[in-house]
Amino acid sequence: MDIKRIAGPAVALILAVGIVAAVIVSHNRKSSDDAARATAASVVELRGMIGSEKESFFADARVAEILLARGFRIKVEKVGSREIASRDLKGYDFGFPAGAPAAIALQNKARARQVYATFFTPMAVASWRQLVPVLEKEGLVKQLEGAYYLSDMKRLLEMSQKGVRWRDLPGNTVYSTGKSILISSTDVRKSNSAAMYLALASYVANDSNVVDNKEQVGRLMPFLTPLFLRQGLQESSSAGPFEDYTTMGMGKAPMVMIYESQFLEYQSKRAQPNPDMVLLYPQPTIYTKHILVPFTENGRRLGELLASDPELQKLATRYGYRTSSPEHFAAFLKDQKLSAPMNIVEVIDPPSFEIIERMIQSVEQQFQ
Amino acid sequence: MKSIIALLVAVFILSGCQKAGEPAGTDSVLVVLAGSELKDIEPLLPKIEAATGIRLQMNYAGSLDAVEKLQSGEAVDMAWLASNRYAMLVPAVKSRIVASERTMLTPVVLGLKQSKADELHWTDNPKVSWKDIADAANQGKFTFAMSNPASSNTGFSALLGLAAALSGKGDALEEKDIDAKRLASFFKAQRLTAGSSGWLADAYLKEQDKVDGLINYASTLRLMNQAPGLNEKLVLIYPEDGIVTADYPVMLVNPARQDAYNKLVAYLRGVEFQQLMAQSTLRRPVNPDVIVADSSEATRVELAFPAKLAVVDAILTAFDHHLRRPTDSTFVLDQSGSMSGERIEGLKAAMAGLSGADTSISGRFSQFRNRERIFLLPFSDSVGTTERFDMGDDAQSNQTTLNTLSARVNSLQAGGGTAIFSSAQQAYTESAKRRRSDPARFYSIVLLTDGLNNNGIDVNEFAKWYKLLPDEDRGIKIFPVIFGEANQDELKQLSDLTGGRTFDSRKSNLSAIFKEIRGYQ
Repeated sequence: MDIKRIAGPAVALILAVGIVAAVIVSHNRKSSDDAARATAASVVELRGMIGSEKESFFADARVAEILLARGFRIKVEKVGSREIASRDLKGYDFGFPAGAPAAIALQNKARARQVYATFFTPMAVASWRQLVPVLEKEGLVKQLEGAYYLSDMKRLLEMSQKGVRWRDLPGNTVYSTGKSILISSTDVRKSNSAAMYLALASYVANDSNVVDNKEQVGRLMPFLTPLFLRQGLQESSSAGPFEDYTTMGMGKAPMVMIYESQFLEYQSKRAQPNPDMVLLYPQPTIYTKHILVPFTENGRRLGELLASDPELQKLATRYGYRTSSPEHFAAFLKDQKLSAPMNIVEVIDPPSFEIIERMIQSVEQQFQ
Repeated sequence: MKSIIALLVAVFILSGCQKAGEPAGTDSVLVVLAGSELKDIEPLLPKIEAATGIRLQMNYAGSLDAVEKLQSGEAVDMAWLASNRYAMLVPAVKSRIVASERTMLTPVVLGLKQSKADELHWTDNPKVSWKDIADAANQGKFTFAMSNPASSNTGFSALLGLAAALSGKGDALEEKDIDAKRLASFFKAQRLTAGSSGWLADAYLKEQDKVDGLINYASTLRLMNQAPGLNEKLVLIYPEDGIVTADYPVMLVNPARQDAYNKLVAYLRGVEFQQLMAQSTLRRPVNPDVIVADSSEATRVELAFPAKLAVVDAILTAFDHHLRRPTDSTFVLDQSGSMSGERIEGLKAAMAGLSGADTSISGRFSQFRNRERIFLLPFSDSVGTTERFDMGDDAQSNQTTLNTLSARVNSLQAGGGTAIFSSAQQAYTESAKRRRSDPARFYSIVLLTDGLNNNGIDVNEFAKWYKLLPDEDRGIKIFPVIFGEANQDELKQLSDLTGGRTFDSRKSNLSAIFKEIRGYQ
């Protein structure tokens, strides 16, 4: 991938064309192969638990076909990413949560020697075009090269903390309700996307430093806990709040913490992207890495394949994920008439596994 | 729920699509614990089966009842309810739910007669708040019907939404935020209650001259607006501070049926089913590729739901004991000879359940309530004497009352004949008299019998007598419970006359039926 960056876009394009050609060629060849393989009974069925956001990737016929050609038929079950490690792993070949912290917990439980980083996506806030001017006026959102950024996360979180309501924002006639300004998220106990939100919020609250000790946790929790507690009942997987956003609209979900990939995938599947839906990129943001944790040898082979097979890597970008080859992601945006910043400059690391677990447990206690 | 609405749905579906052919070889059956709201999906079940090869065996239950069944480990493959919000707060239930997917949407709102809505300036007024509605209710400016929050999702959603809105908070409710005074003032205007939203809609159609509107699903209210029996159009009021939307999640309970579940979900959320469902039930699709005529509902503000079971339980308990209009309930109990043995013991157990012996979720919310007046009228050959048991506001003296009541029930002795209708007449006469002096209560009569009338007046004489009652004395609902060899047709006449409902204890046990009846009291 380093070579591509140096060689520039021309080579990247040639490479991309080459891969497309390869995909088409191998596609045709494979169809006949598949039938032969299937009857040869060389296909093994793998069972895995995955974060809900990756369901459609695995349901894609092209993905299934490539995997089948490699002798795999995959059966997946959606489980909240942070919940996978608490399930009985017997009978499963792999877990594929979202987020490094969930993967580490699972790796420890499964005693997997190796894990596989496959693709990644930044956290972003799904919101509505009508709300952008209101947020801009408050100095919360700035537009830069066609993308919207939540440029003052600290102020936004402080407003949530203080219980400022939407109707308190001057000039807000589009969403003048008594609802508090809160980013909605999943259940932090169960799902990665909320844990990422917590990681991000803790960094912002800690004066732009990654939280790295117990004392800081103790000091910050009174600020962080209400961001979750005050949302009320939450869904345990990231598909829930995003579905609130897509099906129930602004009334239920004015701002939702999601994966960029969810948004892009959703928009790419519409006949026309919904122009009222906008993505706000927190500054800074945090990446969610999708890491496959194998439990069996077949699971390990699958992990290797997903992390390295160029066709599968490319198909992942069709679901809005970013990979180590940015040109695939760029091509996907172009094809689908979507836009997203190619380079996200401010990206922070999550706190250590121990620290994030400590923070989550602290929120959890308040839910009792 | 034979209902005009069900009929309307059926007509829609028959006209909307061709008759499904006999599905080929169905070997896959999923046992579904289904909310009673899902009955309107029944006409679509053949479609589902034809498309997926899966037959859904729907076992209907009320909303808390369903939660309790899941909690007690009832063996089902799936649950399909109007909402899983309460379920998700009960750890033993939450842990059984392997997967959950929404299938359709409709909010719970207030439907008010056009003339009333105009009078209150609420027609097409986007600024009406729950506070305005509560204030108008308090001032007696309108009356409404609502289902019981512990037995039906519409009542539950309305109560939780109202509590959230009236608290004035912009986020999830805590116990300290509950504004009991204003909530109680809202419920002063309630005139009709029911154990299910479907039954409530039918009851409203029958009693529409006595009440100004009802709380129900927006989809049900729209169907009612197409019903031929409706005298005056209902205006749907969406309060600006928020609504609570039912999202009909279909939940996998038995992990071994994951494959069938996935297949089913794909079909239910696919374009074909979403379109058929939207046409016949008037609910909103969850599939963004299905275009709906009116999508304005999606911009309505949704109220936050509490994250803690303790908060929800506190609101439900407060409703029963403090917020709602108090109950006046009469139990007319057959103690004729045929009741001896198991039957009378079953009756005693059912009454003990309502007196606090049943500590399950549904048991807790079926108990005799603070401020309730309970009347016992045992009968055999002749009508007995009514005995009165008064509940107050004090837990300790209430316990004493319940102990006395239980002792009395336990002393019932089976023997003698069966004077059903004379007993019903006496109970009715006494209830009507009490209602004249204290109208601000819900009055009802439960009549349990296991045999044929062989003393006193007969059912025709009762009907003749009832029809001659002055208007103001009519409409105290009789809920007959068919037990043993009772005459179903005669008992049904009693419930039809008075607007009540007949329950059949030959189909489920008496304790469950008594709990269900509490939703109507």
